Amino acid sequence: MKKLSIFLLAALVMGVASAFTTTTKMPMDIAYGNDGTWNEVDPSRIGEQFDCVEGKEYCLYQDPSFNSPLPGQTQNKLFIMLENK
Amino acid sequence: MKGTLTLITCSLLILLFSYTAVSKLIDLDGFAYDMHNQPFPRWFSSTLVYLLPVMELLIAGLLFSNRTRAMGLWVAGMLMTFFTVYTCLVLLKVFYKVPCSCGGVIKRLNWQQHLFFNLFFVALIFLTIRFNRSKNIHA
Repeated sequence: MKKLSIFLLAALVMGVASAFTTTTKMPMDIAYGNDGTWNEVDPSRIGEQFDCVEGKEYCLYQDPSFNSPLPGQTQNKLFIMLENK
Repeated sequence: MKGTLTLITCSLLILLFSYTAVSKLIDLDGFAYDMHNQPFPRWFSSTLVYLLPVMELLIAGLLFSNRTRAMGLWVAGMLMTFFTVYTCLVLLKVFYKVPCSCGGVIKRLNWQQHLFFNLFFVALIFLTIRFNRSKNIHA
């Protein structure tokens, strides 16, 4: 019982400590939308629907250099579904 | 054997859920933005922003005690099954968009890796439940 508690407690401590050491806050100060050209977007509008280039699913990123915006492949991207104009 | 399996499963789940829950809480704004871009109604996404980390911490807590471990494993199994079904639907391109909203470094996995990651945990959880038929699970 004691051995179990120690293992479980160690797992909890490791989980919490890892979260603090590996998690970085997503910067929200600048965002870019792509409607054919890269445009800076007001980050407070993130979560709303934006206009989108036809065929593009992910159109808002933290940095315009993300030219291969595959889910899970780049960091600091913000996903916005942009509706067709 | 049964005790070792329970010990390994519960330790891994506590590690996983405490890590993902705290990661979400550290970057709650980023997680909220990710969630609001899920193919869910906005009210549901807003609920999940708070519900998911709380549930994950609750599961980690339930796994500590012999009396609540069975319930913790069942809830963990249901949650991981839900994530796995969602991952399958994403891979089958059922949704019109597929953002990732996982905690910490796990969000760097691609969807195929996510599926295998989830399937591993689902298998481990239900194997542990199967080995422990009694209501109170001791290690």
